[in-house]
Amino acid sequence: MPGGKRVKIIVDGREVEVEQGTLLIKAAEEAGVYIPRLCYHEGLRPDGNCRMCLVEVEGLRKPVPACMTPVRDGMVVKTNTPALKEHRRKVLEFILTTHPMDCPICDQAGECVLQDYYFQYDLEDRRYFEDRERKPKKVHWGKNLIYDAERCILCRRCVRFLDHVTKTGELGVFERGIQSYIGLFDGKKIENNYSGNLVDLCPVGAITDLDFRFKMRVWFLDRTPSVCPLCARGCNIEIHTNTDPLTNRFSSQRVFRIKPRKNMDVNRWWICDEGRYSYKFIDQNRITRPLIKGKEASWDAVSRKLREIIGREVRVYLSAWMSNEELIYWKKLGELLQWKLSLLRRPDGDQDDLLRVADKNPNTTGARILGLEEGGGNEEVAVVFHFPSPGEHKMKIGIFTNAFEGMEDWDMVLPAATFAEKEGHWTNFQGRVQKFQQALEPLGESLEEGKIGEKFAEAFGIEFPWKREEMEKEFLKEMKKWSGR
Amino acid sequence: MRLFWEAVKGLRVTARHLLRNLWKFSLYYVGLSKDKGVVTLEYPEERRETFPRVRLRHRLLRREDGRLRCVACFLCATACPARCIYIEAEEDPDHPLEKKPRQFVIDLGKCAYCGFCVEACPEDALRMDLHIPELAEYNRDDLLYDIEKLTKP
Repeated sequence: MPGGKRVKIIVDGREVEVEQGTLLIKAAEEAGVYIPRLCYHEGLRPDGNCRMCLVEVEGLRKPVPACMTPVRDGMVVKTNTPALKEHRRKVLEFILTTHPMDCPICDQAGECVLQDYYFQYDLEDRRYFEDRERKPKKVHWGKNLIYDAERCILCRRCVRFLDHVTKTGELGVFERGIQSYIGLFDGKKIENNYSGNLVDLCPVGAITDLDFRFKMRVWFLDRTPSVCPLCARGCNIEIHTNTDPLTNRFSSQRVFRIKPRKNMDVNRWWICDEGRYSYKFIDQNRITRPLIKGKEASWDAVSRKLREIIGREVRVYLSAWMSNEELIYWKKLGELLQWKLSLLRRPDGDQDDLLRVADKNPNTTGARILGLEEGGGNEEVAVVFHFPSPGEHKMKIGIFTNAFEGMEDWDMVLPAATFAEKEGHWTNFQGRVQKFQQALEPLGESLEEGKIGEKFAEAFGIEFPWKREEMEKEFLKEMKKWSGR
Repeated sequence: MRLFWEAVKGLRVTARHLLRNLWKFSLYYVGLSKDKGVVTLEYPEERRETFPRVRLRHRLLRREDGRLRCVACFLCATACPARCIYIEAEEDPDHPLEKKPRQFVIDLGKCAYCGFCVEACPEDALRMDLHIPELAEYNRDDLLYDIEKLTKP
């Protein structure tokens, strides 16, 4: 905001200093006062249509919407007077006259803002018993979006998101008054790459996700902070899982959805659809046991077989999907055993100017810091990580998460854990080291790449245990050297 | 020797109860008393009266059109303190209610018969029997009651 002048305001008796031009609702948040809101979202332009955020400002006769009012020096704001409480109740009552109250079949139940506010600010019985307005239900908006106009509270967050953030503008508000609904413009479908964010933005269950629809109630989900692996941006995500056999008895699905996590320096509030819907590789089509020449074997048999490569020329193809710790561990292991190292990456894809970057690997920067480069050779033995695309080698040992065609021709295929099943750090394209946490136990007999490295070290008869924390420190040392350059 | 006297003491108690109940039942049998004494019920011809608020096995109800009332909202499973209700939801393509249970299983082997599930149900889809206590099975797995068993009259 212009000038960057700091002003002081008082919200509910708490003094706070903010930049001039900040919106009142944000300033109050900084003072630790939460003002209820339905239409306001930090990432969108304020609209001021829901009237939940009205506050009283000393010197003004009427309450003003906190999401549309910039702060002035010396403003004294009250957010919790009896009149305002009464006002909020009435706003909620108006919305609830036309709301279908089908929470039992609504996927949003449990994380619905309207539900929360009803319990916080309203708690009154219905006084309106006329027939509800009938509106279109179950409208497919394209991709994975389903719209239910009856549940919609017309906050227009979705319209503003598509107008100002993706700038595609597929949605508009149609009709007037009680009949108004959000609709697609003629001949349009929501097919941009950020459509999934509408589900997160919608404060109620009007926009739900076809991919998640009816799969699981949200209160059964465990949330683990993680980082998206699908491009070098490294968007901060939350993995929602349920592995409880009592509430997830009939399906083998463990990960149910991916939600964005706010990080103003990386992805702000959004993630792209690619990241949102590609969690399926964590549960489907996995390799769960080691394979020797296409036949299932035990890890012991693998250890025995690994001794065959002692004394032969080895090239290890590390991948840009490995964590910083794993990369440095394997690099050190390679140096100990005099292996040649190179790097495998997923080929670059398309990018846009919002989040997605062309580099489709989470840790290319980390690999570069360690001095790993793409390339190959014709050594006898190749140890290949994640991408089955090496050059000519006599013996090929692969370490993969998911099954692929031609797997039987490999001398050895070892099952690796996916990013959701281990802990570590990735360095994104900005050079930020970001931590992803373990959400699940490794599927079947799969192991994280560090532990697989330990098996190699054991087979070669050297002492080099996998200690993640130590490797993390080692990497940070390397990083300091690199950034000082 | 001490043990012998203990055994005699025990037999005395047994005999006392036997004679007392024999006496009471004889009086009852010839119609001189209303007290029957401690006598085993002749189940199943005779049944003990259940208390009026007893709730026993679960029933899933149907709507008038034959559709299950249940919309697979998971509220019963959430309320259940024994966590013995397992549900899988699915889309109901042609019905305005949109959602129905593909599978609905109550593990009566774990159930505590507290009735919270009935209380929690927003659709009145789940109720419990009053006076039918026959719930025995030969196999633990048979105590997993699925939709078919729960809707059978």
